[in-house]
Amino acid sequence: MTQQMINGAVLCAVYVLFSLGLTLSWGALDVLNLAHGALMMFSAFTAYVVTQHLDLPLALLFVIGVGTAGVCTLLLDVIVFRHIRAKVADKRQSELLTLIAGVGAAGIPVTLAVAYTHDSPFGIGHLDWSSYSLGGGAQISTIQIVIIALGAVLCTALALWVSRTRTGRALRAVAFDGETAELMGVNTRALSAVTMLIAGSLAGLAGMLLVIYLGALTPGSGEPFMLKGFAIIILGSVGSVWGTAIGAVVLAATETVVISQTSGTWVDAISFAIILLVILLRPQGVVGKGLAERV
Amino acid sequence: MPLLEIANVSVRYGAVTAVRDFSGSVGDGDVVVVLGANGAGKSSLLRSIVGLAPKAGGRVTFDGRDITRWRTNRISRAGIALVPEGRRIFSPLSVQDNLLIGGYGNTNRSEKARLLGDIYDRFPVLAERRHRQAGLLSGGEQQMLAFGRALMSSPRLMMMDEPSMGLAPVAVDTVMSTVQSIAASGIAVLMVEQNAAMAQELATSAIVMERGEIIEVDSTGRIKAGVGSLSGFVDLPDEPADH
Amino acid sequence: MSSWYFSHLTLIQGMLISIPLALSVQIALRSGVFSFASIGFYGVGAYGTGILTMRGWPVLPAMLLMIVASGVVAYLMSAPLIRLRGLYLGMVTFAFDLILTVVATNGGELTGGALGLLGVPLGMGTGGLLAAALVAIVLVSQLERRSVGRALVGIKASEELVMSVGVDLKSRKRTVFAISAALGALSGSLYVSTFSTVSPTSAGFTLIITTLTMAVIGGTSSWIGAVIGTVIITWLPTMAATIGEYQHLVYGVVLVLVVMYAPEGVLGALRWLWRRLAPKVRMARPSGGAALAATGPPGGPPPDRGAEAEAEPVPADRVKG
Repeated sequence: MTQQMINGAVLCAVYVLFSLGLTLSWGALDVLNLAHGALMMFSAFTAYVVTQHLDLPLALLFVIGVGTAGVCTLLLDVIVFRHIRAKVADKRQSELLTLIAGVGAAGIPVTLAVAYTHDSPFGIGHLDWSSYSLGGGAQISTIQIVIIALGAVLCTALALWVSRTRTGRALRAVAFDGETAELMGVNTRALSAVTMLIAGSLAGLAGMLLVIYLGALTPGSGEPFMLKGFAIIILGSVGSVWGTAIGAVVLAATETVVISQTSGTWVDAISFAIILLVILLRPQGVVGKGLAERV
Repeated sequence: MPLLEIANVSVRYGAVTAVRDFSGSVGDGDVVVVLGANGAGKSSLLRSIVGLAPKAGGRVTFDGRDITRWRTNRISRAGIALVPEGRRIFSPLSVQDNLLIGGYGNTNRSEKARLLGDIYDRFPVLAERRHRQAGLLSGGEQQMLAFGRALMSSPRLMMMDEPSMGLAPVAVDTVMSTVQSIAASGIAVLMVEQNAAMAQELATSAIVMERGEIIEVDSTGRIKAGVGSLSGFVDLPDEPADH
Repeated sequence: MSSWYFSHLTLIQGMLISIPLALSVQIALRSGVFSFASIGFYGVGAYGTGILTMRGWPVLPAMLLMIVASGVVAYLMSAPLIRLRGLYLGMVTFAFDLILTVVATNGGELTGGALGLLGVPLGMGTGGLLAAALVAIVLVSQLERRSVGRALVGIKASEELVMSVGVDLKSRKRTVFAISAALGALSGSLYVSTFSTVSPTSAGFTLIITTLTMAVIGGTSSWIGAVIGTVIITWLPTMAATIGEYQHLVYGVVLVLVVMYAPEGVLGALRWLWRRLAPKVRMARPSGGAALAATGPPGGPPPDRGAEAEAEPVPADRVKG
């Protein structure tokens, strides 16, 4: 039981980090970045390629992996999404084109990873972590502690950033009405760049932690994560930081229970069931309010 | 040198010309009112000055600096505030957060706190509801919030796009006295209005626009009811109703 | 000629199979429905037809059943979906496609697990594929021409306008959703009966990229765009031998570039060319005087020309001028 709670908490922390990035760009900038999952995978993949050629300390690998996803997301926004937003006046049309561009962009990292690894799993090593016994046969390893702590700390930090700081307030204003925010002196372009950089870095961090925790990822690992990310942010309301945390707890808990009760092959279907239920019952989200409304 | 100088500015949306070759200026202490029917290009003019509508040609100088190509947030920080049409309050945010966003460009905390205090003194109703969601305020209160938000950036020029639009008569009076007090505090005002009575009361000069062009300028000082063309224009029976 | 035909048979067949799929995406995007669901129904059609024919069903009834069933299921599914705002619909249908991959992988003996179905009875000749593609094209082009089609275009042009003329927007959108799903299922059924195999990955993320590229590169404003896109994407890999395993990378880049710089696709570019050339053609005709007088002075584009061009075919992707 204790062991399952630990596993669930680790899962939850990874989900939180991944989904926060997805919900941040959707909530604040109306960008549903369908390349988010692919870039999560790509951060671990880049670190893996580096380990094939160089022997670097783990911290440096993290910088490379997280930085890759962050910078790629930033570039995607600066080069592609911003171009679409500036050119297409109709908001719905611009959202649709952003969606399609995201799918196209996702094809790039996935294809690179498939070509390099011949579509097989890859890892970056660093699998030996000391474990501590918690009694009753339950154990927790250092990496598990690190993941849980990072999830909790970064989620809290992001929530405080959005609710308490000057730029966080500006982000909420942009989420509601970007043009008027710009009129108030908010540099919306810079703010959206920062937001996308954070969003991408969070995906990268999730990817790095996951590849170390699981030992390996595959080029297709990002896709089920998009499914999970959707379920979490729709459960917690798009743009809501605490809502995302609650959504991640619900999904991780459900999945952990299902894995322990069944053979585990249907675990990805839970996300979809959650999505359908939320859509049918309460499309505006179950917990929390959007970014503009409250954290 | 006038504070704001607009030289030959045109605004086009595709094949439609909203503003054609507009020139004019606003000096310190001036209250310039732009009058005209719906679709005369008044809003487009204001939006083009702050860079929200693309300028097809012309030049805008503010305080001696050419701001024609500046981005909106930079223009705002340079000292031009626009109270937009329909107020555009950040309704999910609290009243206080709205005001703080207004002073976004100002990073001096103590000065910001002082400004906030001034605005609460000026509009006690905002102080009362500072933690309320801004969307829950009445129309008149929202207009006060829009003024307060603009004042938070301590502008040298305040532009207003139909501040009395859609307000009850009592609220219109409050708006008028607010505009008056803003002008009295030394902030130059460039206001777009359809309400001729209001314009006549406040303006030091007036510009009448029709289909994107200036058809009349009155800069002979305070306009009184005597300006026939103005009142005549605004009293046109088939004047399109405001949305 | 015949040797060329036989050496390129797989590509020709692949192209004919892709046409209904590209049309299924095009018809949805054209109607302003942000849906990737038809790609999921491609999987449903492929697996359904495969499973049925492997159990002794003749091909045609199996295909028909899957197409009709997909259409009906999609129509029922669309009731809650159609209320969703754009991005939510895109997200849910994207999730729908991804979950079907999971279902196919975990379907045990029925779906053949990760390997998928192997040895599905062949039941489609090139003639049959051609006929199916033509039926799909005729269906979609007729939809575009008839009043239904006009109303569908209207969904995109202005929801308020269409509602004011009394067209039931919701039921139109639901119809589009159902037709799109049926076209997807048709394409999947054709695939499995032609190549005798289907696996979870063949209906996954890469298929979304490929199909979107086909529909968007051609232009979503008309069925012609989907066909043009299908032809281009089918033959692109043969033009550049090096593409090989980087095929989807190229598609991804192409998709992004088209969305950024030519959201109306090849079709939009052709229309643009036509608009530039057409007045000159008209001017060259001696009897063109009356037409010119009606549309404005020669030399420059008449002032209302742009508005007219926009109102008429309703380009899928209207951009700020």
